[in-house]
Order: sequence, then C-alpha cells, then structure tokens
Amino acid sequence: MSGQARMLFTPLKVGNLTLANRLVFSAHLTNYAEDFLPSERHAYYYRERARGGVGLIITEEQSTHPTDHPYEKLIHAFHPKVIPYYRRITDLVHAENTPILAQINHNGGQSSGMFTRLPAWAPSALADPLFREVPKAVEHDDIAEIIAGYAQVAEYTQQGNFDGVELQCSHSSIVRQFLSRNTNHRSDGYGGSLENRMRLLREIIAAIRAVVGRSYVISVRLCGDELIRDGITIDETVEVARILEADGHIDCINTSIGTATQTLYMIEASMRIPPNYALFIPSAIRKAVRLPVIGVGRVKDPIQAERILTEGHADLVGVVRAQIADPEFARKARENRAEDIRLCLSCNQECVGRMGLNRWMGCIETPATGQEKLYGVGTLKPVETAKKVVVVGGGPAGLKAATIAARRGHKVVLLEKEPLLGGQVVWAVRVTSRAEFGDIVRNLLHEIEQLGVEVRTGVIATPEVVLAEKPDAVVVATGSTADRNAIPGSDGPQVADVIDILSGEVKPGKKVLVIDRLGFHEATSVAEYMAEQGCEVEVVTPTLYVGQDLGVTLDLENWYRLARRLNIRCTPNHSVLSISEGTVMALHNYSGQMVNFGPVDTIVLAIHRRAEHGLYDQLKGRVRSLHRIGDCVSPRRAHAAIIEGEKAGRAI
Amino acid sequence: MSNDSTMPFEGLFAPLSLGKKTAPNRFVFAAHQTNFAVHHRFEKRHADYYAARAAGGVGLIVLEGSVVHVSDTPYEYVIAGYDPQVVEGYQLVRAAVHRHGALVLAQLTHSGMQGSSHYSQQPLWAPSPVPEVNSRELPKEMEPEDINALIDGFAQAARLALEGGLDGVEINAGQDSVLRQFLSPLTNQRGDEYGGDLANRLRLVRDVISAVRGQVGSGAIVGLRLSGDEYAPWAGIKPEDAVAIAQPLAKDGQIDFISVTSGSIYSGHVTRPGLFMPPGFATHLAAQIKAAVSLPVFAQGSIVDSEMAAALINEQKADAVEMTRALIADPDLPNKLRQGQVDDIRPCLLSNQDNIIGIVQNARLSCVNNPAAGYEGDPEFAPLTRAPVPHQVMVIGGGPAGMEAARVATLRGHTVTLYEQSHHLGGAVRLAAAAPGRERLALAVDWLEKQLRKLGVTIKTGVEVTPEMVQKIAPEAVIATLGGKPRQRPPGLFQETAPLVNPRQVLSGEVPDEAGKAVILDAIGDVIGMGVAEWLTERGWQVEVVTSDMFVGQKLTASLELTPWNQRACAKGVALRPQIEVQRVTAHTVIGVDIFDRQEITIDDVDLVIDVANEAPNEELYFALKQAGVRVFRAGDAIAPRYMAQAILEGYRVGREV
Repeated sequence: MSGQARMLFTPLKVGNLTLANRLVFSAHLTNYAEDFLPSERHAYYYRERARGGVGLIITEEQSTHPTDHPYEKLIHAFHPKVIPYYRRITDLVHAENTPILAQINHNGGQSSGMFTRLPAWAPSALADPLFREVPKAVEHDDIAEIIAGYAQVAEYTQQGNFDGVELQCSHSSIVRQFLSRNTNHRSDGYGGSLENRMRLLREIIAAIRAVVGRSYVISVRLCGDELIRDGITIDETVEVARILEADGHIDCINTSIGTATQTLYMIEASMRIPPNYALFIPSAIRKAVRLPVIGVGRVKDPIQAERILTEGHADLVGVVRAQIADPEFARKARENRAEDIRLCLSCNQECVGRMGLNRWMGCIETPATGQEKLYGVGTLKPVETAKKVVVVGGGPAGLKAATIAARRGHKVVLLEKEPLLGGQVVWAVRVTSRAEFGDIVRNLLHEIEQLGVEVRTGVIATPEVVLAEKPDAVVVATGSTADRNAIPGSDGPQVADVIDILSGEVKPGKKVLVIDRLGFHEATSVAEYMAEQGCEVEVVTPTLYVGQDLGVTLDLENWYRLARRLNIRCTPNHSVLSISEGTVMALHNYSGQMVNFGPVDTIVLAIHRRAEHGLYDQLKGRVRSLHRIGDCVSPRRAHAAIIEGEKAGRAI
Repeated sequence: MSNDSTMPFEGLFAPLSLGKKTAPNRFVFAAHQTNFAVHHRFEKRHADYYAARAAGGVGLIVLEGSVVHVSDTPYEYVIAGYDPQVVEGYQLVRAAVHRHGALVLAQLTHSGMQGSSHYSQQPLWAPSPVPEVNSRELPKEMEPEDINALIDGFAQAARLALEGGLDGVEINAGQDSVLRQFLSPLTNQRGDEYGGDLANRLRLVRDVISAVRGQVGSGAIVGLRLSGDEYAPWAGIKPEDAVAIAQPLAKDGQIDFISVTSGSIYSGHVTRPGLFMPPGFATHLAAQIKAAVSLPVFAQGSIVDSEMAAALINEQKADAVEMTRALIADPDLPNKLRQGQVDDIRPCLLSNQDNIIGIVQNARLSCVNNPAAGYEGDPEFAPLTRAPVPHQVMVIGGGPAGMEAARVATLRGHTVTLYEQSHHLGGAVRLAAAAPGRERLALAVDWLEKQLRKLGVTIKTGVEVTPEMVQKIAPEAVIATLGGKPRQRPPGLFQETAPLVNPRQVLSGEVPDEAGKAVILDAIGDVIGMGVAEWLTERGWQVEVVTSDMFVGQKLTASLELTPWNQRACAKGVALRPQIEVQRVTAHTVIGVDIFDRQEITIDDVDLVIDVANEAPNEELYFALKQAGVRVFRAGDAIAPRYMAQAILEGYRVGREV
C-alpha cells in the first residue's frame, strides 16, 4: 500500500482482534443517552464512523454502580436491561466489520448526589474541586461492591456482543482516584504504596477476566499526568503499565492526560494548545511494554496520525473530534484524499461545549453529528428537477446552503458583496491563536469548488439583481452589521466595532477599552489582537468575569494566561451606559455606582450585531421559495448559520 | 370544623368563584418547573406530586407551564402543550387531583426571548431584537406570520387542556413570557400595531385571550398571570403600569382571575426568591391590582406563613394566595391548618437548597425539608409502618439527621433516646442560622425538636457518648449522626502564628471582640463563606473574601443567591478577591499567587483568617461501634459533610430502616 498514510492502514492485533487500521474512535461523552440507556442515536452515531472506515470504536462510559451519577445523561449499565440496547449498537457496527469496545467506569468522587440522592463514593472523604461535595470514603464492603459492579457490567457488555471492554482509569474515575496520592489518603491496604493504590485496579481486572474469559479484549486507559499537586506523573504510570502487563490479563493500554474536574482544558484541548501535546505519555509507556498503546491529543489529520506511528509514539491513534467533524475521515485518508476531509477546528463549541451544558453533542461544522439518521451520510438525495438557486451572502450560512443545494443537483449561484468569501470568519481568524477557526471556511470553499457552484464576489445583491437571475429559489444569508446605536454615543468618532479593528479598517490608539456584552471570543480575541500590537487594553463586561462563555470551550485558562502576559485588564460587573468624548460611563451592577472608564483613545464594541434583513424584506412575496438563514434572521454564532444553511439547502 | 385556633384562618377556607366554577378554598399551588416530564408530557410522577397537594387540601392547582408552540423549548423537560399527545398526561393528572376536590388548570405559556435555542436549534422569538441579558442570546423579531402562529398556538393548547378534562387555563403574561415581553417597553420596540402605545402593546395579549376564550367557551376558567413590577424602572412595567394593563383586560370581560407575579429579564432572582427576599415581598402588587379591578386576584411572592396568607385574605388584599413552596415543604398545610395543627406544619425555609431546577444539570425538584417532594410515588416514602419488633434505639447526635432519624424511628414504634453532646439540638443548622438573613433555616430544626418533644422522645443533651457507654446501655440499634468537623489542613499552608479560625468558631462567636481586618479563604464558594462574611461585617470587621475561582460565590448561582449577595457585599464593603490561590498564611499576612500568571499577591495587616473548606466526617464512633459488632447506622455529615437536605433525607432513611 502506498500513499499519504501507509502505516496507518497496516492491520494490528489487539488481543484476539485484528484491527484493519490504526485509527481509534476513542471514548467520549455524547449525552445521547435516553432514560439512562444507550439510545438509537448512539447506534447510528457509531455506525456512521464504522462505515467511515475507522479501525476500532470505543463507546462512551458505561457506569458500573448506582452511586455513580456525575451528569444527567449517564448510561446506567448495572442493570441487564442494557443488553438489548447494546445489541442495537453492536449489530450496526459489526455489520460494517468494525470491532467495538465498551468503556466501563465509576466516576467515584468526581460526582455528586444530585441525581442519586446517595453519597458519592471515593477512596477518601475529600471533595472534588469541581463538584465540591464531600464523598463517602468507601468501606471494604463498598469496595467489594465496586469490583462486583465492574465484573457484572463487563458481563453485560459481553452479552451485548461487544468485542471487549476498556476500563477508564484516567480522567474521571474512582480507579484513578485510588491510584493518585492526591485523592487517596487511605491507610488500609488500598492506600499508601503504589502496590496498595493499584490494588483496586488489579482486583477489578482480575474479576473481569474471570467473568469474560481470555478472548474478550480488556483495554486499560491510564492517566499519564494529572497535572495537579501530588498527582500521578508519567514515571508512576509507566510502572503501573508494566505491572499490569506482567499480570497478563490485559490486551491494550490507552492513554490520557489531566483530570476532568480540574484540568479538563488539557484533555479536550482547544486550538490554543498545540497538536500532539500528550504524546509523551504513550511514547514513554510504549518503551516499557509490548502491549499495543493508544496515543491521543488533538490529532486533526491523517498525515499527523501517520507521523505519530512512524515516529514510534504509539501503535494506535485516537482520533475523536476529527471524526466527529468528518465521519469519513478514515476512508478519505485511505483513498489518499486527505484534502477532502472536513477538518476539525478544535473550537470545542458544539461538541465539548454542549457537554458542559448537559446538551447532546453536535459539531459546529456538521449538523449531522448526533442526527445521523436524519442528516447522515447518504441521506442527501439527488433532486429530480434541478432548480436555479440564488444564494445571497458568502458567509458560513450561505456557503453551507450552497454546498447542500449543489450536492443535491441544483444549479447554484452565490453572490457576495465582499471580495472574499467567509463572512465574519475572514476577520475572526486574523487573531493568531484563532487561526484554525478558518478551517470552517476552507472546508466549505473546497466543497464549493468541487461542486462547481458559481461564485460572484463584489456583487451588491439588490432585489433586481436577484430577480434578474430568474431564480426558482432564493436563500438570503446576508448576515449582520455592527450596531452603532446600542449605547448612547457609540456612534462617536473614537468608537469602532470588532471587525473594524480586525480588518484594519480602524487603527486603534494607544489606550483602548473593549466593551463586551457577548462573553465569547469577540472581545477576548480583539483584546489579544490589539495588545499584541502594543495597545494598552482593558475589557469591561457586565458579566461576572471576562470571557464567561470561554469556560465551556476550554479556552478560558489559556486566554487568561495570555491576557496576563499582555497586561490586558479585565473588569467585570460593569454595564457601560454612555460614551462621549473623554468619558465612558458605566454602572457597577451591584453597587449602583457610576464609574468613568475614559478617557481612552479607542473604544471597541463587542456587542450584539443587527440582522441585515433588508433584502429578505424586499423579496418577501416576490419569490416563491424564499429562505432566510443565519445572522440575517438573528445574529448568533457560527453553528446556527451552518445548521440553517444545511436545512435550507435540503428544503429547496 | 372551627375552634379558636383556626378562627384567624377561616377566610382561607371560604370557597372562591372563578368564572362558572368554584374553588373549595383560597390556597393555590401555582405553576412551577419540576423537570419531571418525560417526552414533554405529564407523568405519573407529576400526578403523584399534585395529588399529594390536592389530598392535603389545596383548592386550586395550576400545572407546570405548557408551551404553546414548537418554537419554544425553554428547558429540556418542558411540557409540549401544542402536541395532542399532551392530553393523556392532562387526564392522568386531572384524575389524581379531582379525586380530592381541587380544581386544576393548565398554564399556557411561550417564553419568547427567555427561552433557549439549544434544544430547538431555532432562533428565539421576541417582539424586538433585544438581547436577553442572562443567556446573552439575541432573538428574532417576530414577523406577522409568527404572531399569528403564536395566537393559534395558544388557542390549540387551550383546546387540548380542555380535552384533557382540566377546569381551564391560566395564560402566562408574567415572568418568562413572550406576552409580557410584548407588554413591556423594555423588550417591545416594534413599530407596527403590536408596539408603541399601551393599546398596541396590549394587542397581542387581547388577541390571545380572545382566541383562548373562543376555544374553551364560557364554562371553563381563563385566568391571566401578570407581572406587577418588572423591577426595571427605566423602561419596564412599573406597578402603576401593571394596573393600567390589568384594568382594560379585566374590563374586556373575558378572564376570570388575575394572578400577580413580578420580575423580568433583569431580575431572575426575584422569580425564585430565596432567603434574601422577605416573605410576601410582592403581595402589595396584588393588592394594588385587586383595588383596581373587580376580578379575583391571586397574590404571590414567598407567601410561606399561614398568618400572612390569612391576613392577605382577611384584609382583602387578595382573593387567593399562592403558597407554592410552603406546599412543596408540607403538602398537608391546608388540612393541618383547618384541624388546628398549626405547629405540625413543616415549614418552608425559603432556602431554595433542593429546589434548583433552573441549572443546566436538570436537577429534579425536591425540598430540603421534605425529601418526599417530587418522590411521592417512591416506595421509600410510602406511609410509615410499625416496626415488627420495637427496639431500643440510641441516636447519637442531635442535628437534623439525628432528629429526623429519631422522629421517624419513634413513629415506627421504636423507643428512641437521642444524645447530643452540646447543650442544644440543631447541630450545624444552628450555626448556619446565626448568619445574618439566614435565621429562617433554624425553623427546620425547631420543627424537628418540637416533634420529638411531642412524640416523647427522650433527649439527653450535654452527653458525650463513648463506645463503653453504648456497650453498657446495650441498645438494639445505634444511629450515629455526629456530623462533621473541621478538616486537618495541608501542612505548610498556615503558620502556627496565623490568626486562624474556622466558620464554626466565627458563627459561634469565638472571634476577638475588637473588630479588625478579616480575610475569608473560601474554597467552596457557597453560603458558608457568604454567611461568615456577613456575620463579621455586621460586627464591624473589614472583610475580604479570597478564592481561586473566577468569581466569589460560585456555588450561589444554583439557588439564585449570587446577585443579591453581590449587592449586599458591595453595600457592606466586603472586598471580593477572586482568582487567587493562597499559598501561605503568616501571623498578619495572607500570601497567594494569581492563578494565571503565578505573580505573588499579599494581603497585609490581617487580624483574622477564616478557613472555609469542606469538613471531614465525624466517623470514629461509628467505626468503633461497627468493629465492636454493634448494629450501627450513620446518616448525614457523619458519612460525608454536605448540606441539610442530605442530612434530613438520610436521617429519614435510617429511621425507616432501623
């Protein structure tokens, strides 16, 4: 075999299984569970990646005990009623000749009693830093129950026709809590020395092996560095791997970094953290054991994955978000079509970001994610009679609508008033740390080009221009404009909006105030951009802290580190009420006092934009099939533009 | 039945005509989110929940809101009132409620800009593109066809409610309602006939009322929920505007009652008010509207005390009282009042501790003081049965867990002796209630103590129980509820000379008489740090709160206490110092680092340092007894220090199990 990724497509034996390639869709939460059971959505979701050619799938965690319930949509696997739901998944995945493991886990003290109305269980009665609920230090009867729970659930997975199990002993697990000095303060046989701290893990593995027999795969996922005080570090993890291999019960070692409730931003790293940042872990383990080792950590494309293998860091590569964005990642890689892959942005907006909000997982670029049955591969049917479709606006919404409509066989003309396609994304990616967000447009432009959509830039689409095309359908995706009337005085001369700055239209003065009412990347990005150019920047927001919505995308910690380095001043809890020359008056939300943030040289508005719906209003009633999508309906984030583009493209 | 003790409450038991129907009394269990729905329908769990209140004597139940259009999914488990499948759920609930003689209405609602697009993946609807300040989401300005769809939605939902056998509907034009957003110039900036002057802003509500009345006819009840004050005086509905809104709608003659709530996008915390709002804070708004219209008017706003409720009726400030949370805490409140058992009513604490339905985790509604709330159908809350063999039971520890365990065990026929090492009962709750504004928490333990005395439980205070004592007394079972204790802190953090105290010491007054500068190191971010801060400021201390979180009071958001706390902190001059990790505390200095750049930050001239950290369980006695082969149970903080809700629930459980 030759091509872009030769080693990636070399088979590998893991225990009894022969994997067709080295790509793993490793375990991750989806919030697809219904009534605490695996749903149909799960089955279609995994099937889609199996069809796309991945070598191995590992499901999200299957909880082993009723004391474990850290988030609402956890799968309760400790009841035999899961088995038929398991078979629904394994039937669909096995039909694609893809092996699949079930990850089994107990989250221990990284949980609360909110749903269980029981104390959480942990090695010691120490509150988790996120949940802040003191757990019960498990008694010996409890430990026996934990072990029995793992064995029982392993048996259910086997009856559900999985090919094996993975024990999550890493970022959110009672097993890691026992392994770590940070959380294990016990003085009995389960605490103290490494041997003692490993005891629970070894007892669990032995119990599972006794139940499932030799041919059922057992993989163990270990944390290579907890990144916390007194936490697990790589040397100890290598030792654990060595001992487990010597015990002879396990078939594979998967790796992970960080803990889910303290350093999550290192587990599901956003674009602010370089790719391959966690490879030191599989690399070190692989030197010590012969078992196959899985490496993970923001692997975005097959060339990167291939390099991980050829450089000897791992035997298998976990690729999650890239396959969430493009379920056909593996097939395209195998066919040497890496450039056709819809690259993941590592933006975390709709995948990781929705997890923290207890919502089902999606993808900013791929509305089909989690809705495979409705929008998945193969659901886009060619039309019988091609229509002439005019799409007005070449931002994400318009581009998405154009690709979907064109894919179905319509003849699409895309009109854009600017010289460049991409809408606001063109400017958002001017900020160095946000550059990868630009892949959303790269991916769409690649499709537009392949599909032969007729693109006309620099065209002001008046109703006459649109109607002159004699369209059968019109999609209005005209976006939004800056709102310069939202605050008294915000139309003044020293005021600019975010795009004015990022596009270079306005050059900021020395002293700059950013007014943030959005709480997302707009303010933090423009602040970073100007501070890097040497401006003295302050960000003022009515929210509790600057960048309040950066927490769920895991950008918060690293933006703040950068902000401190660039001396960006962050001022929360203030609502700017008026601007005039020399003054920017703001109300302190809680004291009611007025504070003057002026004088400053430049004021930058990171506030809600205004829908640009003039064309829609003018065309309403004059076009039979008229669609309005994205910001011109109501300015929101990119995912809304993409979803509405997808829906419009399908509706025509 | 009527005797001297019930006389003042008599007014509450007068029937109330609502249109052509009559509610048997003046108690209302108002609409509220529960998160019990499955597939957007009312469930058996709802039926059990409402039935318990109906059986307890409430006269009118307004069900959890039913949304009237597919564009609105404000929370994941909302009731889809537009879906014909809702009818079956209505029937289920109706049957359960009517059996006990109460009336039952659906609440029809659309959240407009206060909804969420996360579930629907559609833009929010609103009169104008005004950003919602909490979600920061910008809604779509409704087009004429959207307005028509909304009106049709209300009509369709009203029809389904009647098909479900309900007595009528309440139309929500109060908090969380697109109708209020149309009524208020704060959110309605339209230039068409639905915006501008009052007549225009009223248009949609009138259209909706007409459409609903047209569907349900004159036999069913149609009520209207209004916001009496949006607490946004610069542009919102002020009390006088609320009267001007209510009067013409009442005159139109199509509605049967008005329920008066308060709040808007800027005042979410008033919608689910906690201990920071005085009971009855919004009743003047109802009184004002009652004075201006000739319809029955319902009052609302932390009405939890029966005396206040009775006074509102007797003084003709309202025709009915919404006592929703009081009825969550004790479903039998009306019956107990009527039977003169005023002292037996389990009080609502207004703490919102176990009523945190608004958080993204979708917690199900329950009650700190009544763990059965929302779990009425669960076998563990079935009526208590007598223990097959009555036992001598020793309960060790007189906090809420121990008292609840003693109460339940006694009710089951056991002979219980309760031991408490201090000189009073109540445990850590007494300390929590010592914080300013949190006095009401003590009602929980006052009630338990009264019940124990009434049941004749032997109470021994000032006794520290040892394993030897237990061996000597030789009870058949022991319940160890010794609570929590301050935790051993990591070495190196506090120098020996540091002026260190824990929250227990502060709240029991063990601090220097002379006030100085106090620094609270808050590792939890909940009511403890807040309570300690306010206790100290009240005694003249200059207080700073240090946390490594992004802001102080991170755990106060669930119970909506954060905003009022921030307001009080400002007023009282408390300095909030977030994003600092404390590394060392010396005799007069707190030394920390910025959590991001690790630059050192010092706070000098410190006279007192309060270490607010999770406690450790007081578990030694439990393990000693267990080892000695005693039949021993534990509950509450003695397992793991948490909150009162867990203590009461686990106390109840061991009382039932022993």
